[in-house]
Amino acid sequence: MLILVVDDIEKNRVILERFLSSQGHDVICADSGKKSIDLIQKHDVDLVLMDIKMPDMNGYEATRNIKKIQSEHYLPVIFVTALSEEEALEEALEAGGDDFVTKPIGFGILLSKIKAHARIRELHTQVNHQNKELSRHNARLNREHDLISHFFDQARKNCFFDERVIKSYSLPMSVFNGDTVLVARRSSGGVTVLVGDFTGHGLSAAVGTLPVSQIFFSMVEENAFIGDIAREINRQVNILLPVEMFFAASIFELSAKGDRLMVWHGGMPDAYLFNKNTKEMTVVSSDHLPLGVRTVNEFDDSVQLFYVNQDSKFVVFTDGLSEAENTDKVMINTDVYVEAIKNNEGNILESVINSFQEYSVGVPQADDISVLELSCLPVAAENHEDMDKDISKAVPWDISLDVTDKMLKRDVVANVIALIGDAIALKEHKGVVHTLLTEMYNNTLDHGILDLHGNEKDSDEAFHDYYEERIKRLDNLNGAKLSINIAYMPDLDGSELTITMSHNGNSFEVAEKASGEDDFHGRGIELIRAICSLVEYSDDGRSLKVVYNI
Amino acid sequence: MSITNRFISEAGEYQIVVVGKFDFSLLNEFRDAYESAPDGVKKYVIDMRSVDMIDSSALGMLLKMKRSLNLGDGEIEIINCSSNVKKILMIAKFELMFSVQ
Repeated sequence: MLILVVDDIEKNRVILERFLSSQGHDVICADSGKKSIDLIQKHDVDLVLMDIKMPDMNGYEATRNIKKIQSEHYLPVIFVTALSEEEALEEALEAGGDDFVTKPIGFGILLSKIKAHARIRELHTQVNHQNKELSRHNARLNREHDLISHFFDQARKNCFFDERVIKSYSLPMSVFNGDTVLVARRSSGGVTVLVGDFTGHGLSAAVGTLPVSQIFFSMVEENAFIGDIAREINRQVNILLPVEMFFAASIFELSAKGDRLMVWHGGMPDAYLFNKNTKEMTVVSSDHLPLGVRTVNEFDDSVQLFYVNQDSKFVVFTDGLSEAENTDKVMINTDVYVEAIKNNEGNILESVINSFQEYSVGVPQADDISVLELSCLPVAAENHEDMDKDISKAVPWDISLDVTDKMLKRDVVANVIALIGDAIALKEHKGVVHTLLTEMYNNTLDHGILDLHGNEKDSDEAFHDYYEERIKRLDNLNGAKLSINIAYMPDLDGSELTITMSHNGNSFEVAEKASGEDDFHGRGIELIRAICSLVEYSDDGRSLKVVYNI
Repeated sequence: MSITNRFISEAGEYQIVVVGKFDFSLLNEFRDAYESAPDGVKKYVIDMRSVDMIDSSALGMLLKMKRSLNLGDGEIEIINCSSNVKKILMIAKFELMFSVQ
């Protein structure tokens, strides 16, 4: 232990130095307050014995300075004083002194005081060290939180939140939310929504959000039916999460026109469908178990269907609301929410949240809370701002293929669509071009190569026989050839796709207009004429050329 | 399975869901779907959400359905059409006979 002795009188310093050295301590001395400050900065001093009355800078001031310098560590300063007046001691303590011994010095007492303060200093050092460790740990935890938060933000990033249609409120109990609210617009218009609640709360409940949001967004992009989305989430929750964890969820879709609401509701509190015009209230109760409970084979994808209109509001919330307790630990009667919805003053969501907060005032939040309000309004299909339709980036191209005999039985059109369907600027026309090619191909194959005639399709049975005959004739082809040429010419003023299909079979008369009286006859060529700007037969009907404007 | 169906009994709505290419290859399957509709159907709906191509024989099949169920114009709803499918239905003037969405 290194002890600093501060005293302007040499005799005093020598006495103390000699005694302390004999007790096994290292001692350094200062003959003034100023000097003591220098030494403190140069040496790793463990304890200071400080005289009070010194010329220049007295003990009080020196102590104040020392304490300032050593503010992070506990450096005990013990005053050695002949003064015994209360006032002097008071000032000593106020200056930051930790203790005092009176002159003449009782060496026994001095030693015990040194020991006591050494112990305090050691404890202090330990606490300091642990504090540092803690704050390092805390910083790492914060970094990890930030990283995980980033994951969750990304998972929810694709959400479609149009205030007009969707209002939602989510209040997690801790940093991470075990509740999930996902909204996506479907490519054909309308929205699909998921409001769910994993068992428990916090990070362990929130981890499930990641796979669920991935499944949700990718399936909605494929226009999947909510029952199928529920089925897939059920399967994944079964695989990924431990048995005791499951996912109460309401998955629902509103049609593009906003007139049809389909709901898969499992393990969730009652949801409410309210018509703000007629004031009619429909309670939508869970008719399924939560996701992750049923095995894949037991799973039931049936949905509830409601015809709705622009006055309809669908309100869904998690059990954080329906199981809210007041200060007497009495659970809320959910009729409170029914009243809140009915008597809302223009804002249902706010009204519901207010009744929750009023009821649970003074009670610490015990679960994650989410509420969502869907207004049943039309939601148009998304406008794809797609690079791929930029005609200025497209180049002209053409492809030709000859298909013969047995190959004609294969799905030639699907092959061609696979070749050209993703071409720049053509992508969004893929479906129509697919229809066009199908009509041209069937027309050329049936009437040209196979010599079948449309009027054989008049009745249902005839239609069936027609296709039986078609298959038979396709199997017996010999030397038949169908040629396809597709040419694309980009032009900012209107691009053209020119398709020519020709064959080496019989010539045939082309009917100008289908009769329209029967279900199956002649609609093909009618469709081709309606889709294309030019439809031209040549070579006695053996060659059909059309132009489709893009 | 290219055609499935859903019957939502409370609402009495029978939905026929077509997947992939809607063409003559689905002739029998499609007819079976509407002919096997359960009792109590109040509304027939064709869900086109998973159809990527529709051809003239499918149009014929839809007309045939309307005729054999003896349903009036607009009584059968065709829902969740992609823009491409909708375009073909419009070209064929099907919005006059069906409720197309």
